[in-house]
Amino acid sequence: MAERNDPRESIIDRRLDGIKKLAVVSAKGGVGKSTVSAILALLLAEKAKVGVLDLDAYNPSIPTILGMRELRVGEDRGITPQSFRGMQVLSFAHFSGDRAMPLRGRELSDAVKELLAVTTWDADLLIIDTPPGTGEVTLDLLRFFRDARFLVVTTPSALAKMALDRELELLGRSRVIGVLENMSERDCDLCVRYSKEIEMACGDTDRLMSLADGMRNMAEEIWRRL
Amino acid sequence: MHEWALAEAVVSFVSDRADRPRRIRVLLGELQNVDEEIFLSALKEMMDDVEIDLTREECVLRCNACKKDMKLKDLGEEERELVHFLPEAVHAYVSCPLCGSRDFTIEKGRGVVIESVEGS
Ligand SMILES: Nc1ncnc2c1ncn2[C@@H]1O[C@H](COP(=O)(O)OP(=O)(O)O)[C@@H](O)[C@H]1O
Ligand SMILES: [Mg+2]
Ligand SMILES: [Zn+2]
Repeated sequence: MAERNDPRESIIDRRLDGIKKLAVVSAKGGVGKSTVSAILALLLAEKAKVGVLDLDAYNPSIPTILGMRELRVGEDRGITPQSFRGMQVLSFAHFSGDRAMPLRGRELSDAVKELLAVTTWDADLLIIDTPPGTGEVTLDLLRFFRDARFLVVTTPSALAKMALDRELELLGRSRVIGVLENMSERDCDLCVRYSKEIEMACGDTDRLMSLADGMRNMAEEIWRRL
Repeated sequence: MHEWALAEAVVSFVSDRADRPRRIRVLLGELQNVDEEIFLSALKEMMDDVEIDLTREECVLRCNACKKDMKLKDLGEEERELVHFLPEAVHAYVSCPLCGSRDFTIEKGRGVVIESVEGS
């Protein structure tokens, strides 16, 4: 019997060799993973070549938050991410547009693998936005990249705290470079305050950038820990 | 031209398995619609002394609601290109012709599969 084998897995780590990887995760949805990913990317793009990979297949948000109007990818010995504001951006939305992309577990993993295997990045740092939960995407990132670091996003709510504990239990301390408290009521290195302005800045790159200005210390701190 | 990246994956896979590969057999799924000529010339450029057998595999989508198989229907040109880049994007554009469900599985003929590597 013929053995059927998947060639993609053998090239994934080579594709991203030498690129720092930061996955922004949380077991709970709606805590601000995508917003934080976008802001961090804008800030860190000032000091490094930044790629942003949006792996939320069911609700890709990065292009919307960043205010990318027209989505297009290039092709040159691989898929080339879209250049935007000095960053390279690739999202599931580049392929599904505004449509739903309903797919089950194995095929979700297949889709993630495909993007990791054929996309050619020119970046020092890849920020990876993820869907909520500890499913395919998180497991694939853990499986393929021993050097991937995780930024866990949480909020002050009791439900988010529970989700945080679950997430940390899975990832283990050594992989996690920090826990970011979003929608916070306090100030700390990795706290982002609750602000209606942040919500309103969705899709408005300049406004997002000016809000991000107040988060420079946070971005510095995260960069330092990478 | 992203065929080149797919070919690189094949070369990487083969070199992990054989120091001196003689012959490889590769299945190309209809869904991804790989350009055979570009793919083959990329493979030849990277492994010039390896015999390469390419076989096309028809795409079968199976509806999870009514359990019937469906053939890949004509996609628009733009959709076809998106599915070429990412086969799973088919889930954004296709529904079951019998029951209308969007819930189906790509059973066969998705993308690049290595059937065998011969050599030492
Ligand atoms: N610090 C904040 N203050 C107020 N609203 C926020 C803040 N961070 C994110 N939001 C809003 O919360 C909602 C969920 O954020 P999002 O980034 O989509 O979360 P996730 O990606 O974790 O699901 C969005 O409407 C976003 O604008
Ligand atoms: Mg999100
Ligand atoms: Zn059906």
